[in-house]
Amino acid sequence: MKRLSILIFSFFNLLIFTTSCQDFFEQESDHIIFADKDHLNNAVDTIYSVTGIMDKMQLLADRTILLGELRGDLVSVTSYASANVRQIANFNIDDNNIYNSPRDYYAVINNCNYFIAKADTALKNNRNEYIFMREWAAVKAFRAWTYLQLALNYGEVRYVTSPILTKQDADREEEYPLLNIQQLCLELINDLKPLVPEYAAEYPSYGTIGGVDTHLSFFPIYILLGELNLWAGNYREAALNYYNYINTRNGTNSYYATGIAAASWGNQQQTTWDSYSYNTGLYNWTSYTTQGEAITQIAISQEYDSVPNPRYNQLRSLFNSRDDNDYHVSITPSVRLQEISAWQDYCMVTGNEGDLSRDTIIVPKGLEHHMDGDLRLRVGWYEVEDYPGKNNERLTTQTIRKFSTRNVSIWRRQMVYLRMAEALNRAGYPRFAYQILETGVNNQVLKDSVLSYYCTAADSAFINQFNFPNQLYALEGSGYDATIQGMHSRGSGESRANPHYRFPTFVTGDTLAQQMDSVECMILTEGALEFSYEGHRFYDLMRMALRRNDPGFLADRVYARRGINHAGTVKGEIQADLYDKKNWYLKWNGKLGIGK
Amino acid sequence: MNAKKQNRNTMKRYILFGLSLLMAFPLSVSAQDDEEYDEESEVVVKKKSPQVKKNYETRTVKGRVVDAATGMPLSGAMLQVDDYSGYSVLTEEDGTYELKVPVFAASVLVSAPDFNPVRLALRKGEQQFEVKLFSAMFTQEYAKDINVRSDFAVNDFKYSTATNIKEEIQKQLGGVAHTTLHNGTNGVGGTIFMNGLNSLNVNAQPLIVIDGVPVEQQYGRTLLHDGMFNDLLSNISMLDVEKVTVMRNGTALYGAKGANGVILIQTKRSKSMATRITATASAGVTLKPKFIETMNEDQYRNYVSDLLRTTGTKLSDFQFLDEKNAYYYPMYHGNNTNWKDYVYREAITQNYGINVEGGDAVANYNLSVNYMMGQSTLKSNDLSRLNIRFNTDISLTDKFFVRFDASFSNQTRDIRDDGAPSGYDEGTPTSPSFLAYVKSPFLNPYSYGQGRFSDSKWEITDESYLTQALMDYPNYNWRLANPAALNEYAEAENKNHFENSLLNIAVAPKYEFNRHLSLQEHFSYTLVNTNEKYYIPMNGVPSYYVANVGDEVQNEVRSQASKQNSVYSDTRLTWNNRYDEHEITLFGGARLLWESFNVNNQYGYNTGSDKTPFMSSGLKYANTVGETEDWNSLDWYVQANYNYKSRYYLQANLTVEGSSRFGKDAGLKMFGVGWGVFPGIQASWVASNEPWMAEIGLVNYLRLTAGYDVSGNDDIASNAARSYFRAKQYLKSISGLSFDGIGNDEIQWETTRRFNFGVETSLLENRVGLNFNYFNSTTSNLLTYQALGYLSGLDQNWSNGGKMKNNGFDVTAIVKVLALKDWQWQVGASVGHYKNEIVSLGDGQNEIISTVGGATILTRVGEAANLFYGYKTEGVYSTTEEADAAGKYILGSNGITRTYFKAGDVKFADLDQTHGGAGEINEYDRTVIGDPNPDIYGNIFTSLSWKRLKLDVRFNYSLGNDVYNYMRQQLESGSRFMNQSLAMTQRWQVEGQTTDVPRIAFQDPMENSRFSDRWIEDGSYIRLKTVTLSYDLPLKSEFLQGLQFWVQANNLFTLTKYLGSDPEFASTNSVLGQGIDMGQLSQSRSFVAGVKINL
Repeated sequence: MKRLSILIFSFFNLLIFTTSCQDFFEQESDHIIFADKDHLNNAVDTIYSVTGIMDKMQLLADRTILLGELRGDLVSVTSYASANVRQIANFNIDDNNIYNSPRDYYAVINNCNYFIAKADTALKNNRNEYIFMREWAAVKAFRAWTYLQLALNYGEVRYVTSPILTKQDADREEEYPLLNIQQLCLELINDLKPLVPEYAAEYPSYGTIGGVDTHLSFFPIYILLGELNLWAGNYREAALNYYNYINTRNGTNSYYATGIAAASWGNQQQTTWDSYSYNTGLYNWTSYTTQGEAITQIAISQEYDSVPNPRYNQLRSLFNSRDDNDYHVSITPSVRLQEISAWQDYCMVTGNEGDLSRDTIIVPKGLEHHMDGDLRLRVGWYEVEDYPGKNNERLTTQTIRKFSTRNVSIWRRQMVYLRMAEALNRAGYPRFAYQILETGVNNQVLKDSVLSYYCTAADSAFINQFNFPNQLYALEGSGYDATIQGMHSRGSGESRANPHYRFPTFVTGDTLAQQMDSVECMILTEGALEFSYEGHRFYDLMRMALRRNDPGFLADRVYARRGINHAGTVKGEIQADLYDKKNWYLKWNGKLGIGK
Repeated sequence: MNAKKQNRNTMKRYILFGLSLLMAFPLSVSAQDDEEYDEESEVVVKKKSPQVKKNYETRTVKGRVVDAATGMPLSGAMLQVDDYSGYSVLTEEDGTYELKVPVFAASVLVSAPDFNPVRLALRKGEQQFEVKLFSAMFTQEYAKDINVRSDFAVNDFKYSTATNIKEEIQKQLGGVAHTTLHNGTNGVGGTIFMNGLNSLNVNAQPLIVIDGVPVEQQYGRTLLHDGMFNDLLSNISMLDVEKVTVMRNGTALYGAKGANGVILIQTKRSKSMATRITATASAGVTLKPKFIETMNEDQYRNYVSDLLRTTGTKLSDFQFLDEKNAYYYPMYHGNNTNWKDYVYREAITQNYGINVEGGDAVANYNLSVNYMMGQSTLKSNDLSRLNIRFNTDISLTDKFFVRFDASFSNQTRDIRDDGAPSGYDEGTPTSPSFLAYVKSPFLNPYSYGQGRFSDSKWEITDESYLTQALMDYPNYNWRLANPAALNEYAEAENKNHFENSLLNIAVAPKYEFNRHLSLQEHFSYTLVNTNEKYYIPMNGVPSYYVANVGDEVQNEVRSQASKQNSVYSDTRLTWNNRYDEHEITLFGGARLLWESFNVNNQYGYNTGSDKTPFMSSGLKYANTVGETEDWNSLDWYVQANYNYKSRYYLQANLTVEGSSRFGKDAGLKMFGVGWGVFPGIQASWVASNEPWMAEIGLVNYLRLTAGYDVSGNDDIASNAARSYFRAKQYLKSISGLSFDGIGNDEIQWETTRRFNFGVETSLLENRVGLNFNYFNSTTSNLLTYQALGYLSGLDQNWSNGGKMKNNGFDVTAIVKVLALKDWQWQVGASVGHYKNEIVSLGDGQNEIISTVGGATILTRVGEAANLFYGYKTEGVYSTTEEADAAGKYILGSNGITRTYFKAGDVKFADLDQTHGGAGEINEYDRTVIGDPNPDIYGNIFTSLSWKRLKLDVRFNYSLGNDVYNYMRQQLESGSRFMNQSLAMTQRWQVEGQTTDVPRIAFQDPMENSRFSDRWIEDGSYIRLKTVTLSYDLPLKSEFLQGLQFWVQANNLFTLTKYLGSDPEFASTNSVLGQGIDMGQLSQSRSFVAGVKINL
């Protein structure tokens, strides 16, 4: 008996000592995966980790649009706007604003960092291909885009590239380098460069998830490199990367022309000025086709599933009159946008070539419903007056066609072309840039309208890297089916014939610098017309103002939001001095943000 | 109906099983001992190893023992020397004795059948003071051992009708363990807070140790039904409980689990070798509870038509207002239904038990089978429970003993939601008790057809009297269910049902190497299975909008199944010896605990029909979620006891605990993991045993105790120490894995350092007993959900930080007022008090504001942990002029629009002028409006006995605690189309009216019903908890050894100013959220009669 009891005692003690203490206290679970386990060496968890990152990006979608648009000059907030939205427009975003949370960006970044550190990239399949490299590249792109957004909004980032796995690590924020936009761009360029050309056009193909084509869920690395270089001031690199995207969008030997969709007056023999037509392709970006407009979007959810989350999914309700907001929108096109649109001249060429009746008509000014300028405003913004709302309230409803789906568009084809134009302009080729706006570019256009102005060997060599075969990038009337047009023609008619739309000339000192500044303004205007509400405006203003080292370039435009004559009122509302660059950026809890 | 039949069948099966178990043991009825010995005096039976008397130097003491009531000498009283075994003697016929005691001995314990034992301090000389023994009808005051830690124990549960032991703890330990029952539902248990509030965010309730095994109580687990609590102590029948000990001090022994105090529950074991059979039966009736009075049909009709004006509807004709309409509407809307009649009833309870104990030289056993069935006064909430417990003590050899215990219990109950819903966005109210308050009284519960109301068919068509008016509010849940129909269509075992079983098997072998040294292993396995089914029927319940899924649904089904597996091993080496006046006892060992908790939850909507209440993946928005939490801990512990001359006692504890819940860098680093170290010391001085004090004889007994303990609270979320991923649905269709937790390497237990001081005394020839305990503690490293560094991408995780203080005392006094031959009367009372104060909060915060059930709770440095934080009100604006002059407004969500308070709105005090514009009422205007912690609490008790008839009366009370009356807030908000309390007839209606009740307004745009002092009430009460009249029939028959009868009345009356139906409730187990009345079933009067037969 004595022996028995000693046996029992030793048995339990054995249990304690045979398994080491760490093992004894380490638990397993069916419902969660511990980060110290190697779960990224199997296909299922690897893919689910990519979708997990996409899930985290959903939270960034709304603010990407709102922070980029509301701080610009193209929209105004209405009295129905919540404080969260209003603060953005007034540059007084406080620490509790739901859109002011660097944490949400780092939620994406930390998951990316973990994936990048732990994914088994060396694993090959039986065809000797790396299995997870495409995912790995895609995740690096997620991270780069997220970092860039963070930097653009806060002016600086804590650059962390390894996963944070403990609270203690997360608390040591001071140990991670603080990078400004430029420094960050250089880091990210170095990070992404090795991935092209191998993984530039190759994305994980997950087919359709929840009714959304996953082609659109990734960030093409060439575009990212274009963006990063553009912000970093490497204009040639930027232009080439945008071009590389166009050139390799659908693999090698593909083409990706601007397309000829446009908002236009329907009747070529216009006598009354009350109808217009537009190509539905203009605002339909949700599906993926090889020549489609859509490039990248943040997929939010299926249309029929209507679970609201206060922190995302709100764009449709902010921009559109709907049941759920009692038909009260929070954001409307600004007076400034209406002015910009009205300043454009819509040009029509009537009759066929050679006909006597052939004429060039400029649509008269003073038409109702914003139809007297660029038609993109009218087409994208739809109002119904005297609509019966809740409790028979009569009101004017608004529909912004760009927000017809829950998915949030981030990048699209026209953007790539316009950014390329911006890069080319600053690279010293304003005529190249201008042609993108006016005619659209192919090799013929380059030969006729660009190369002749830039005669040095170096210039030719640079320009000759851009190859737009005439049969693939075909202008109207070129003998091929048209696939390109000048971007300005998307809303302002036939720009080639438009006497008011010309490359800027100067009476005195027609210098390259002056040309570049002027073309840049045309690009900025084109961006306003094409990308209004899409969250690009503030960054466009910021980039150009920084480049010109002229804060007023941004400030004056933002103050003119309510129209040129109301800058004083807006200044009173905004209070923050936008001539001081520090006030452009968000601040958060004294931890992040220039001027914190 | 079907379900009930099934219940009965199951029950039958159980009883047959129980009986067959009984048959397995010889039912030899033999003579039993007449005397009621207390447990300690019978150790003789258990220990068969001969007591070896050491040859200490002795001296002789002499004296006399008399009956305190009559002064007559007592013969046959036993005197035993304290702390020295083997020195005892019985008194002679004249009550005198002569006893040889060791010269170091300081006191003797004097006991006699039918009398309570008394401790007598020995004088220096031979002659001792006379000992007066009091009848056992009085509460016993002396235990066999010296109470070094100032524990407090009770062991009289003879006539208990409690379903949960906490009810007895409240009745008998009022001031010692602050106990509040959750609500009036049978067996839902309650909360116990000892020594103040020892945690902020994690479990603050004491560790429960049942027969030596710490049992995880699942306090933090949630159930599907509102108002239901799965209190695991309801699995123990009071008939099986021998003794409950409240261990306030010395908790260092329990390491990181002891900080909240410890309650030791001891179940019955066999005391005699003779077989004893006890059968108990009791039955009772519980009356309907008290209600808050609501408006009648006319008052409600008036209310509705008033409220309609604020909805923006342009309609003016409503059928329910039109009493002259020729169609059936006047009749349809012309009822005056008291919905409570259909939901409440008088309830019957029954309780049966058979207990068999006996044994021989080898084995002793105690087997009990109990069955109880308790209806609830709220229909469809009935409980039935079966308990089987089998405790054995086996002596395999004279050195090797084994304790083998097995117990099983099973509770099943019919169940519904109870109490006010916490909101209306996620569904329509489904609690019949709440619906009975708010459902329109002008509607009829029965269906209408062919010109009359049915007398058996419930109305199941959705309410429609507001359909036209509320057309523009599509997702607004205004239709209310018919509670009577809901109860019927929700009834079935696969619809709304709760089942809980607890199985425990314990084996404890013990080997005694010699008289001084023994080794014991205590192994225990516990399984707790909980199954809950939740169903909202289609019939009788309108379809409703659920914000969470963004859709209107017809009905809903949920199920939850959880399983807790606990394996416990305690290996202990014990050694003791005495060296003349020094006695030393040492034990030490290792405790291992493996815990595994697993829960699976399923839910879905739109089952299609009430005949198919099944959960399936095909249901709308069907979802399954689950959680597995495994944790374990290992404690090395040692306890040393030292006793010098029976006057000075010292107990020292040391526990070193490691746990899977701790971070790897927590505390003391050894073997690659973090360990907590918990030392404690308790010292007692029995002053009355000092010869100089014994000489005086004024004070019969006086013990002073002081101690200091360090103990912990390891209720850390089991994954807090590690980083992990969790899968979420991406785009509602595919898994997405992302970080869900970032681990804290330094996470550790909360540490409580407690100083205690206590006095136990007995005065005036043991007529007055007093027990006092003071404590002063600091809890540091509070577990709080703190912000993670933003680089982690996650918001929060558990961290340690912050500190709080508690100090307080409890005192219990008992006075024997009358001690005569036939009459005994004693009076006693206990008072408990604590004061809690936050010293600091983690993360450098000064305050934390949390929201619990509609209340805002403030935790602020310098104040108690859980204060109510809301707006102060100053009545109602009587006139427009007054409102305009005040100029108070609220700011719209756009940050611009100002909406001004008008006549009839509540005057909220504008306490803060620095935030927002002048006159803006905003969150900065909130202030502390109430404190749920009582000033004092406890009980008052008295018992009067005449011969064998005994009347026992117990009050319990709580004074100075504030209550947030959420139920009244619901009934007086005037913002929804629900019936309201009668007070709402006083609402502001016309310009110039002076009243305290504001105007009503649909959806309350001015938030007049916000969390404010309007809803804070004084929750003080004193309640006549129990009156028991018992009679012990002096029977000496061959077949019947004894017969006891009793009748008991509970909750006879309550003195309180509280406006709710019951001032006692606890709607949560946590510290934050105490004092919020969710309107769950209140306790009500009950009457029970019982009989106990000893065979």
